[in-house]
Amino acid sequence: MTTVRYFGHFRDLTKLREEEVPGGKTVRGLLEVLEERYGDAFSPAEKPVPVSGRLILLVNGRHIQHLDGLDTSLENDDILSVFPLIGGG
Amino acid sequence: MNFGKILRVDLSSGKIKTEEVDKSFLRSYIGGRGYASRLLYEELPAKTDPLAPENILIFSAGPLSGTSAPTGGRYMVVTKGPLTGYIASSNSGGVWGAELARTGYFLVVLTGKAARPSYLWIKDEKVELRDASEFWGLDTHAATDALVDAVGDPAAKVACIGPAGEKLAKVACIINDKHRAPGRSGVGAVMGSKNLKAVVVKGSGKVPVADEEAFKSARDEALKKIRENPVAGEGLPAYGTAVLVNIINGVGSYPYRNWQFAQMENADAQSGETLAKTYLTSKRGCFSCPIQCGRVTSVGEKSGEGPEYESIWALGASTGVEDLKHITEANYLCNELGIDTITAGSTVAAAMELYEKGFIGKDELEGGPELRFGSGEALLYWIEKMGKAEGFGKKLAEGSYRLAESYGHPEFSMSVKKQEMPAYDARGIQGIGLNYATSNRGGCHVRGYTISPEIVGLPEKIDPWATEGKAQWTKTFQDLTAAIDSSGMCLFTSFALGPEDYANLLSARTGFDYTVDEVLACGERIWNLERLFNLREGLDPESEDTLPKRLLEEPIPEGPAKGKVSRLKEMLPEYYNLRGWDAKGIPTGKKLEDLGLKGLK
Repeated sequence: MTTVRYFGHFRDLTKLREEEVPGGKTVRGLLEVLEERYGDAFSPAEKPVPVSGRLILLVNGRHIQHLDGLDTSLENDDILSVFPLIGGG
Repeated sequence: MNFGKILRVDLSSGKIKTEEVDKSFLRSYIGGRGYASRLLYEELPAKTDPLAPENILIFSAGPLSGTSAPTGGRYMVVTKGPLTGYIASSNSGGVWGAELARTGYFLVVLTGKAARPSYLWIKDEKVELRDASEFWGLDTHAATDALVDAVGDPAAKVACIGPAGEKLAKVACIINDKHRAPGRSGVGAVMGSKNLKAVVVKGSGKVPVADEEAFKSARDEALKKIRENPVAGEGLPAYGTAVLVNIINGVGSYPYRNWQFAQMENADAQSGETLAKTYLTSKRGCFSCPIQCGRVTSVGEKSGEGPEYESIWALGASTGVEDLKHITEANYLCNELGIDTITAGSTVAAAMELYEKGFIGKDELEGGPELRFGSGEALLYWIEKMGKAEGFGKKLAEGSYRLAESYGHPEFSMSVKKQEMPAYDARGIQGIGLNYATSNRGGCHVRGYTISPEIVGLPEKIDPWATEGKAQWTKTFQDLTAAIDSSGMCLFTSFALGPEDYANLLSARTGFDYTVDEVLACGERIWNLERLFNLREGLDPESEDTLPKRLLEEPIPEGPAKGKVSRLKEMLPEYYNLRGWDAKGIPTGKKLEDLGLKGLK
């Protein structure tokens, strides 16, 4: 089970802030589950827009690019945070 | 090409004169921040007391201010800052800057001190210094309404100070259009020291462009890129800057309780998502802005704009206050009293740590609420006292550094060059720490916003924990930002635009035919000039290009970045080297020659 936390418009899309999601052994696998549930916004496909151009994905607070990218493995109790690409300051 | 005129007002004698801009300076310094910094460098005698009449206060538009370039309504306030003792260089949006440009004046240079409270009224070419006695003491909102009435033109725009600036509080900012601020380094106190309550402007002219067709094409291209960009075109319009709360907290770099911690359990309670569902009533953009990141909010009877991300953090997380209601109310108070939210919140946070550790005595609070982390009541009470410089608030009005130093513990001031750092922990995000340490105006994120690559992943994702490559990123961002600040456009466009877009817009406006390299060189020239200014004022790089001890020595105690400290010392030598400075942080003769800065006095 991975705890998935949603931020920004993903809360509107899923109507959730957080949920437990089974079945994803990697970030890619988990995104596939979410894509099936909630649609294209969660797609792990790199086209037409690369994942890094749509989503900021943190596993336990660390951006997946500094782990194993979409192949980052997920253990029980891991937390995946899903943000839209956002900035400001 | 008409670039607008320079307006000079000597407040002591009341003499007003105009002069033409120097076109070669304009080309080399672009305008706004750059041109004003050059003028300040040339005209301000070294070691001038920032609050003495001799200090020079400059309001400066950029060449794109008042044009239809996206976000082309920004302006700068440049002076010697009383908070830092170094160059103050504060940028603001709203509509005031565009209005100034439309009067035909490009820079307003104020010297001296008026004999009585005064305000400057600029209506196109006509300029009057008027009595402001009846407005002295008013908060910024009441003053704005009263001044618009007084000049008899409902379309007039006001930049003014509140009680804090009048009392020469080093935390004071200037407020324009009621909700926008050239916020940092105590620029409001400089205005107060000159007995100047406000600068009111109304322009009816059109800012000309050299090549209409090229300008339209560059503008359309820039607009398209902004609209298609996920940050500038979607994230910022939808959630405003406060959308950052959850992600910065998520990576464990959201400084909490005066940076004793780096994560806040219930940060979501003060996030952009929560703001959108609670106090947000609508969105508002500045002049000619397609991004519309401004948040209009209301709490009970009161309404206003904000809080923005940095303000939420400073007034909320830094003080340990979770409740967005208290934070929003504190933000309104800061705007009305005319105080900088980052410095205000951080100063209350430092006071809370000093109080909880027993350095500030209860008797000093004269019956006011105890300075306990997490107390919204204390936050609101002490912000008001700070803004009015009353009782213990007088000490708070000096900012966190002077406050903490007065108790013998400057290390509790989370500041660089006496200016409080903003909302990103430099232990968990290494590049931003290098930027804080080297920023010419002290602790600041908008000199070189490395958060964009380190956290957001724009223009590419880099590792926030790594130090490699950070010197180059910091330098590039600092130089490009100096150019953008000088152009009259908003830094937020840089999420979507690159140097070529600014070069195209500037070229079409000015007819100067800027290349990408030239725009970046202008930025580098401005950066080095600001550095020279600070060195002349006595900056000691060895002891001042640094971070608070806490960030260098106390590891983050919890969360994803647990155990990290800032590795500034690994990055700083490389940064000096890339800048063409010597090992002590002094620009070399060769670098100054390359930038055309050799021979400056």
